[in-house]
Amino acid sequence: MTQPLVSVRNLKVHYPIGGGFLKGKPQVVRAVDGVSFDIFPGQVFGLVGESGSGKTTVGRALLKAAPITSGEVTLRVGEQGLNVAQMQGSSTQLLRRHAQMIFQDPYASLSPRMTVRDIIAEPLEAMGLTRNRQETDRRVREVAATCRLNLEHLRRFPHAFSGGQRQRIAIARALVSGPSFLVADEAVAALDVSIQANILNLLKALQQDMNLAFMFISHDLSVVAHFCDVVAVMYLGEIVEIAPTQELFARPSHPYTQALLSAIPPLDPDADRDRIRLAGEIPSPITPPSGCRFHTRCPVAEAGCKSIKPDWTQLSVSHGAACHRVADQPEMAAAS
Amino acid sequence: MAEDSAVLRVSNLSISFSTDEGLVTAVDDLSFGLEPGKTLGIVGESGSGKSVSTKSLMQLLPSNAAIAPNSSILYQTKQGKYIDIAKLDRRSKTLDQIRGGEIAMIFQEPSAAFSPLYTIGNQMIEGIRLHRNVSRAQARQQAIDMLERVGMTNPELRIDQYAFQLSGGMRQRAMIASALVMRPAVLIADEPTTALDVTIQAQILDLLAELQNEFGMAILFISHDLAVISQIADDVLVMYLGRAMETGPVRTIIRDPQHPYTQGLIKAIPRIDRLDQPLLPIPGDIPSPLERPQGCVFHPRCPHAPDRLRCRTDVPVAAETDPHHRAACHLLDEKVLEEVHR
Amino acid sequence: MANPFKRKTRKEDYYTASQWQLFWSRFKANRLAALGGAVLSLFIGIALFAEFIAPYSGLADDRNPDYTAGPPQLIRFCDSEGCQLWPFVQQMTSSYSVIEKQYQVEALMENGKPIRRNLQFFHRAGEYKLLGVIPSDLHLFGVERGKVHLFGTDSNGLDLFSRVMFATRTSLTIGFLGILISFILSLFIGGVAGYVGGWVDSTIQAFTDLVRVIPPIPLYMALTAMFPRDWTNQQVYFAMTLVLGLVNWPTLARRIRSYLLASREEEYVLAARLAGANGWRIVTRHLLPGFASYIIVELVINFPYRILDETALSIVGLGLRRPTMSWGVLLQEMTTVQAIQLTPWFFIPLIFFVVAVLSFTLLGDGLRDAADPYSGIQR
Repeated sequence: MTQPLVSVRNLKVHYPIGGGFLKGKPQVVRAVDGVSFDIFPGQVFGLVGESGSGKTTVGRALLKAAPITSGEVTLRVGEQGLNVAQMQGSSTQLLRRHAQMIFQDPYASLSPRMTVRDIIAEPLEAMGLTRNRQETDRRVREVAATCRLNLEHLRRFPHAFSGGQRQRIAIARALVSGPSFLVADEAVAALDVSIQANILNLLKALQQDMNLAFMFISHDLSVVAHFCDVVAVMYLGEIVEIAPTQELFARPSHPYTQALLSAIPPLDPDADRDRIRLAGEIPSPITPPSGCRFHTRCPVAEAGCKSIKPDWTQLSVSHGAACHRVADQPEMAAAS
Repeated sequence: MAEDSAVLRVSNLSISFSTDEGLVTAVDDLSFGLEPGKTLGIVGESGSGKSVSTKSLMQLLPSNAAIAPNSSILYQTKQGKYIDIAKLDRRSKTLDQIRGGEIAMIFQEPSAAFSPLYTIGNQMIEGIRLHRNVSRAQARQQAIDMLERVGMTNPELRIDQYAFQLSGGMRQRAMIASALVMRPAVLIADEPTTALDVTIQAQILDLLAELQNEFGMAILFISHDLAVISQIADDVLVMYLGRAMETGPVRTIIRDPQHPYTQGLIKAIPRIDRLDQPLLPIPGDIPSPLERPQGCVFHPRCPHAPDRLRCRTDVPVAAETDPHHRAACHLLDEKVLEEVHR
Repeated sequence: MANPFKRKTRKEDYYTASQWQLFWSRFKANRLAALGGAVLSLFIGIALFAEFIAPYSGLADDRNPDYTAGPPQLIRFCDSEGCQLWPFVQQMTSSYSVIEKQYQVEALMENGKPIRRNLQFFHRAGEYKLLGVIPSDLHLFGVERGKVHLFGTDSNGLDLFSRVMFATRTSLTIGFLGILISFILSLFIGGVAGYVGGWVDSTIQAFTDLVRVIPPIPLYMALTAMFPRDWTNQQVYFAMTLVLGLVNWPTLARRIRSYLLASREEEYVLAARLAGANGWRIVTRHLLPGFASYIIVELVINFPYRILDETALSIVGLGLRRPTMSWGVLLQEMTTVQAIQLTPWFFIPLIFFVVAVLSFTLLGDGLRDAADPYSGIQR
């Protein structure tokens, strides 16, 4: 079996809010509270969850854009393993070069005062990856063409472009340094449906051509289902289930995954479906519930769920879930 | 018009904005009717004019917007009187009575609907007493009943809280309660579930359907998400760049769309029940509102337009394909002709 | 619309327009602001070339003892003796009549005719150094014999026109230097607070608030009263700019801080960080360009207040003193009832002052409206 490209072990990101000079003790937000997973070269790893689940923080922590409280994050570059949590200086540059990010809002993530050429060239110039301006320009044009941007538009400023075109500019910027790993944080959520498919297809094509590994963060399970090889479901800072996409959508094992799937509105109004309606909303990550964090909303919770944290159960080689009742799931599915 | 059963009948609505870059057409010759107790879903992408057209129903447009003089927004009041909202003055008393009392609105962002300076109760009670001749205590009781009805836990406690103290889903419930407490005949819901997580979205959609059963109001539901519309609407209106592309019963629109735009939109939606099918995007980009295409507004992205001159020159007129199902596309004539020749 | 090609290039211009170009095109559309800008350019011209524009030095060496507190002289083409094509002024005298308690002004006669003094343009007279470097004796205008006083003279017989020109220079530069000092202070203090954040920010904010809560007028008075009386005018001048700068940095420092705090969280800043850009590059390439327009607006809007401060302090005698010429010093002379009654031309500096402050305000408002070109563009 191949070695993982990105390996995450027991990652925790806690940060204080409030507090400060003469303002009392800050509260601690447990945004990410012990997640572990592997992403293999060329794999598209989906991370889904509701707002407040910590999925964005995981993505940022992998790129050292959020402070890592504890745990290990390793990115493999060639034969070398970069320890993301402890790195500084020149190895940060190495990380930036090999791991990049695509943001949700293409209106906010592009500097409004730079031309498209300058935006795309930013990583090359900031990290000094090219020898001269000609080489930079050549590389920018090459990547822009790959992302199906009109080369005559490189002189323009972002205000000239629509959301879809801006997102392509952002993708070009992320690809220009030749990374092997991309974090796409809700990369198509802000786009119109007719444009969204366009960007997804472009990302898919790029991913296959360049053998890129992706962490694709999204709240939209339908998009994740179409784009990802493996999906991890997050709830309140923890991963509750990981499975290959087909498997997850066919046989969801965690009650939260099941509820999420059944909440997706189907296109056909008469579609036959068993609806699991979750009551309530995601609790605060400052004071997460005891035991299984999902027990407050879980339709199948038992007495023990409230006090005992569920262990990770591997259902098959690639499918795992953290639920006390994971063994009862087949019956449960049959019963409902 | 006399036997029109619609509570709200919009005819030939056109709205334009004057901006620094010139006059921008936001809505172009839009017509639809809203039947009592039914839900009409308006679906459209950015720039489709769906939000602008619904804002005009309550005269909530910004000051640089103008409604064309031949537009009419005919509303039948609870007393059976007809009022053309398009012709009302922005400051007229009639408008104040219609807003809230007859037509209510909920938004994507509930925090925009509640003042941070007043409690939810303050605002609901004030609204009730503005329209109904009741005491403060009675109004408070009515507000509490309504909050309870929309599924707020501890309504007696919640009524004295501020909107920002509530979670997103609870805020949306509070907004629905304050919109429905006056028992409006029409509820305009502008992307009310877009900012919510799927699990909460499902809760709110269920709640709206329940409340409609109970109170019998007509709902105008605006969304960019056809799947959400299909869950709640009886009829669908598909808009693109300010024009109605297609309108009809929800099942017909989703199963047998006639307009190339609707067809394209449905193929572009990722569906978890069709994981094996590739996503088919609509080619090109949505044009900027400053560059409205001539002829059919969809022609630059339409797969059928390149070999048809009139798509680029003539604006297609909406034609009936089945009873209650209309689409505005030149291709439809061709199909009709084909069938005649056959 | 008629010419599709032209339309297209215009659009391309818009798409390739930088922030500054968009800013400028918005600004130009605002007529009032452009007018303010034009008037100010005139003032700046006066400040730069005061020696050339003024016919005299405005100091004691150039006083006209025969014409004290004399009213403005009219530029004439005609007098009682007929007309001529070349403009001239009449030679006048002024003397104080103790009996009537007012100045008597009369035209000097020669052979029963009023004396005509033809105006000369690019007249050679008193020497000076243009912009402090180029030696010259050229003046915009003057007269061969006698003196010309377009704005009249003050009670010492000094040419008011020349004095107003030099005062314009002093007041504008003192305002400019004051703004510059407060700008540098606030950029540094606000920049550190906003970029570093944390406890550094809290401490700096506490200090800033401390400075802000002291009422400015007593603070000015206290600071200026500390100037030793034996200081030269030049020392007082620089001390004044320092005082103006020291009192006025907190507001701008706060703005810079909150701007930095807000834009530190912008996604494009995070994007730049992930692109490998270091702190310096982020500040200079991403933050400052976006901020520059706001800073300029802020400075222009603040400018008239600094001039007001200087003028107010000088009028009450706490700021600059004679023989330094500033609007405040000149206006000090009009603070008597006598001035209103007898010598209304002493108010001419006031007109300059009001026009300058108004122009700055118009310009500042126009710049502020133009600074946000994205406000009107639909997404």
